[in-house]
Amino acid sequence: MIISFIVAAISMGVVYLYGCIGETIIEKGGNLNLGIPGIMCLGALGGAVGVNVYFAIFSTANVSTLLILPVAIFFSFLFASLGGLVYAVLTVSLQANQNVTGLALTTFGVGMMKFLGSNMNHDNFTLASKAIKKLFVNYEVLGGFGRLFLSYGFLVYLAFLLAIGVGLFIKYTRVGLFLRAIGESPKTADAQGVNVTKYKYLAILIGSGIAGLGGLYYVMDRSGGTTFVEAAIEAFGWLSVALVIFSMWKPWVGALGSILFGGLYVLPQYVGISNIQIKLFDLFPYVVTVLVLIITSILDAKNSQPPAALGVNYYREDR
Amino acid sequence: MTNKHREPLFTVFKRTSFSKKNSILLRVGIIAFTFLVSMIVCSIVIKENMFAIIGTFFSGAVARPWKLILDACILLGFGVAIVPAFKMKYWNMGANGQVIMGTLVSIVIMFYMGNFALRSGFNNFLTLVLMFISSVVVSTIWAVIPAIFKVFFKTNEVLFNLMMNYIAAGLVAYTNYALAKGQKEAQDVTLLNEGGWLPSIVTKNFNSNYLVASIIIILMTVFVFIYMSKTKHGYEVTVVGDSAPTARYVGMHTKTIVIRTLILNGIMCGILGFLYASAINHSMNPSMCGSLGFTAVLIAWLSNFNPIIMSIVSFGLAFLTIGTSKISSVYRIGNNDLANVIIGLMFFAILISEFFIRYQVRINIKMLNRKKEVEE
Repeated sequence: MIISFIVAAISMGVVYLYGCIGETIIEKGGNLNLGIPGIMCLGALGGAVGVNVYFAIFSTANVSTLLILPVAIFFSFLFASLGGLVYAVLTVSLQANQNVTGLALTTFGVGMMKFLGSNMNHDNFTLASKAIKKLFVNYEVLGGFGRLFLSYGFLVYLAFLLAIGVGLFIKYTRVGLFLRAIGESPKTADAQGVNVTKYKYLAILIGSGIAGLGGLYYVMDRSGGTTFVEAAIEAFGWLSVALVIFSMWKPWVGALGSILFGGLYVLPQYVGISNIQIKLFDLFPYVVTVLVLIITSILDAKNSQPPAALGVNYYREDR
Repeated sequence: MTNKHREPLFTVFKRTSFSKKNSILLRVGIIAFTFLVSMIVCSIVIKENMFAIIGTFFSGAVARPWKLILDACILLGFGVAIVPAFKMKYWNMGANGQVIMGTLVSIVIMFYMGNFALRSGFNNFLTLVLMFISSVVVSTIWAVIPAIFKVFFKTNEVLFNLMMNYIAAGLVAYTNYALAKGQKEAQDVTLLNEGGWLPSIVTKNFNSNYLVASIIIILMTVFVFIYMSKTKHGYEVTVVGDSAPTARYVGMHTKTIVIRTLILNGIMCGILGFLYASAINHSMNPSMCGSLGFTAVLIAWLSNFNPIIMSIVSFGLAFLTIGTSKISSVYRIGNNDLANVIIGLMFFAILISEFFIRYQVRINIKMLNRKKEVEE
């Protein structure tokens, strides 16, 4: 019981975790991307395109995990990055307001997924999902341990590896230091000789791509390829943005937070509460995030604040 | 290639002036262009003659004029409600939540006082007044909470308001369930009678309710226009938005101004919430406002906070949405999703044009020539 709850919490939380990691990278570079929900939808769309591409080339009999997974990830990453590219061109090169651009991107991305998605061939999604989910076999023989640690698809492990990797990268590498410098004060970074534009572009493109994998994961792994157009990815996207705040811009904390958020999402199915109480449970992640936001701003602790230049465009000639 | 004196190929600098006529022409041109491109793409996707599609679009948009006007007014209402706050550079992303909290209390009052309200015209009036006041109060509280934390603790208002949206939506879902419990299997609460509905002006039909709502919103727009351009309050808001330090130096109480403006914002959202309950929907659900609060942000920003331009833009967007949903239903391609795609594209296009209005790009001819020389 407990184990299956934790397993469900982790597998749900991964959706948020991808969005959180992606948005953290972007926000560390000083861009507040409110287009994350749209980007995750684009990622889901890309994944669906990838699956269809795979089936256009290979037969539906005996789907190979080793082949379909990279194809789906590639297309998902590509589509999401293209969404990110639009955002990057508009905010970094064309100095458009970040909030406005992000919201426009969300409108566009959600619409795009539903519009193209509903006109797409869904027949093989469940088949693809089975292959994408499959990683370890016969883990049941290991009992609770097997179910807790080995029962997931590749994308789950990838998410946690990314959380650790990105956390290390931002904190301990030179490039990560530069990225943080840009988020705190692009002027100073520029004076140091850091190419602000290049960094921001890369951060947005890579961050968006990673966030997009959350959409792919939700459609092709978590929901088994059954829900696509109806998928509530937009709401998950906003929760990912909330998770970034909750995690105080630390992907490691985000990984734990994602399990908490996921747990809150699936909890009603496990504790047998009434439908009405479920509705109150749904509020919990948002309330907790608000509390974290308030507490960190009241404490004014140096290492849990948003990047100082978050949401502000850098225009070199403004001095 | 050893050119030590590398200069950038493009230099971007701020324009000192751009004539109003040109900027309007540029925007109208880019909107028309995007519309045309979207229609061409549509015609390719649907495999149908483009002109037939455009015909469907226009006929669909004007088929229900009242609906069109109401939609435009609602959009406008959201826009003008947040304009004062935005003018102050306070990013109120929570209009959705603020409005539906108003609707929430209104509906609860309608649910419990419906029978009372039906007894006489005066009773109905009392119910409406009570709904109005509580709606405004609750919306204001919802709007002011993030503002208080913003001014005292510098809490990020964008993220705070986004969360407040979802909390409000969750509360609506919860209340719906709680109220509908007695009613069999209903997801949303259904009101038992018409107590607490706005009175009809012309005849007892649906449209007149729309009319009342539209008129109230238009009055709100006029109020915001006057408030922002003719009053001392409006002036203070502008100064705080342009430069908070300047406002402090000349002795303005910025904290008071921020909270005062958010109270005004909350009041207007409360009115909208009240209208949803009493005139427009007579029901509520967590997603009833869709993403209107966000669209309103885009409208307000791109209209440069001018209520008159906002009216035009809102009308255009409502026209676009209804027209496109007609295309979707006639050619059976999804619901309103096509509209969102086109609206998103239009906003991208306008954001691009914004850049060319504010900045000038000069190509460095010297560099271009040198590049050619090197290549030769």
